[in-house]
Amino acid sequence: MSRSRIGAKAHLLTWAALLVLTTATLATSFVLGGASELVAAGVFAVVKASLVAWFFMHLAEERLPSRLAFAVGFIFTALLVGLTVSDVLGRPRLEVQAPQVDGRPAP
Amino acid sequence: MESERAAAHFEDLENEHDAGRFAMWVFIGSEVLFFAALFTLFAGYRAHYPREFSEAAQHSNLTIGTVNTYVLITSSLLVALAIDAIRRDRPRAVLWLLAGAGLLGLVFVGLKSWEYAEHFREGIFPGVAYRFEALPARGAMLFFTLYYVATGIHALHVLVGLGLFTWVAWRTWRGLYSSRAHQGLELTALYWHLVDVIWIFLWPAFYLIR
Repeated sequence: MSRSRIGAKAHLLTWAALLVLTTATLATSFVLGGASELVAAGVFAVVKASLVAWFFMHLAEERLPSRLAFAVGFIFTALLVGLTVSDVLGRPRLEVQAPQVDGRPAP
Repeated sequence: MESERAAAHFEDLENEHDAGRFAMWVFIGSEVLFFAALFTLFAGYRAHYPREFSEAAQHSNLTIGTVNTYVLITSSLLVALAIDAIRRDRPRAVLWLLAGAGLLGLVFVGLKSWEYAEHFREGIFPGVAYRFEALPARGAMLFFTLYYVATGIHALHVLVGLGLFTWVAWRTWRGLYSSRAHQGLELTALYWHLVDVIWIFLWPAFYLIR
């Protein structure tokens, strides 16, 4: 069975898109700050990685089992990072008190 | 020449190559999960030490990190074009493209080594050896320890990739690959793109998010 092949033109376009997205990530990091910078950098990275996987790694040409292997890795990564970070961020911050004697800092 | 006849337990050559690529994708999935564990550690510690991580990231060499990003993306393009070339039975072009990708890989390792040397001069070492006076806090030490573990293992992957380039270039030069049978080249290309994908996530984590 013949399958559609990704050619040199698509590779060059993917490369150009990756360069633009890298530059956009860099520019965004100077403009944004805090949580929005974190989210923007994450979104850019996921889009870039998807472009590499789909075009450079020819995931677009692959049969279902290979696509499934990639999807499983991606989903479990998202679960691992997402659930762990939400757990850590959801914990109350505990301030460690210095030991005291009669209301004064211990010697 | 890489066999153009399928092994006995495969229906045909395409079926055999599909199985090989599937195995490679499973390996890639396991590699992704390995690096995901490091990212999870990074994210957890960053949530605990936001100020220290921010200060430490400002001390990373953004120029080298960014140049290396462009370098790896371009080397990935050359490898993708090498696959395109072998599919058209153009081994000479494959050799040139592999040489270009390998050279860019060497540039990446060279710049990374330069950056490590810069850090060492300032006393930025991993773990208990850390003695950077400008950022003495525990959070900064954890940032740089994770930085060395993640980028060091990634650099090791780059070196393995360079070894694989040498091997497949040698096989291409000997005329062992054709448009019908070039699985060694194809799996090496998949591996190199994985190295690129991992760096795509390392770059913002250790250089950009400040």
